[in-house]
Amino acid sequence: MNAIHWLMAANAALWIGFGAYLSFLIGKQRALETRVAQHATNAAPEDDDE
Amino acid sequence: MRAFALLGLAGGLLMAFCQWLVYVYAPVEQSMGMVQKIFYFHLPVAWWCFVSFFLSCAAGVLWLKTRRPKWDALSATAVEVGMVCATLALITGSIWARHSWGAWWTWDPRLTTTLVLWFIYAGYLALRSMPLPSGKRASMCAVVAIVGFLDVPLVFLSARLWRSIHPAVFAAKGGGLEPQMAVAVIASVLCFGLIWAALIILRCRQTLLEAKLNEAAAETAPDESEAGEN
Repeated sequence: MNAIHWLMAANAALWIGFGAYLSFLIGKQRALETRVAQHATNAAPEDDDE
Repeated sequence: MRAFALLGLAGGLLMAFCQWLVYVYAPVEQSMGMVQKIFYFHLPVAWWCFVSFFLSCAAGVLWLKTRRPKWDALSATAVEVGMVCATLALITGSIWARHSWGAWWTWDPRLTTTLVLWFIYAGYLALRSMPLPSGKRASMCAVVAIVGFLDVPLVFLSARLWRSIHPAVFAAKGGGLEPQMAVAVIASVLCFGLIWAALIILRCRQTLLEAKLNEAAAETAPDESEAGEN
């Protein structure tokens, strides 16, 4: 492997790392949105009673 | 547009410009050649990892003082983003070392203190995931964040205090960088800073929202169990 290959390997590692963390954040955001929607649905009948 | 989206967009645009600065504008280093370009993203992620741990320490102090949930959320967020940066700094550094020193890892003071730092904050994340009362867990995590930060100055100064083979670029007398290289590295630090800030804001919001949802779920849980009993 020459210098360019090592440079590309480091670049790939960096962007795969950031990409993986961003994917984790996107997944977390979707899960939170689902929970918020569920919470709103559960809270709605109580509001109707009031 | 939200703050994190603006910061992320600005970071992305500046990143494109940085690629030009790094690969076209900055000269190729004579002894190491193209592999030296790893430095332009290894150094920024390492520095932002230190900033993250400082932020976590400061937020930990504020949590212990005020007990406001936002400080605990900020402290946890900063550690998480800091760990991403620390891991990437260790990986990119290791790839650079394999080419330059012929070994993936050496027990050099800079590398060893960085690994110790990584393990301290990995411990923080493990503690964070433990099923403890939220207030107690936040206090314990704040103490770990504050004590763990003591290793950061040690990492920064290790290459100067002890005999280290790790380059200490900005400690070199008369400056170790060509002006074009300095411009590229400063732009790169700023660019990663924007991305770092976007990640911190987004993740902090998520952590706070998750805490609120958990709180709401805990409040409704007894009602549901009572309803089940009836």
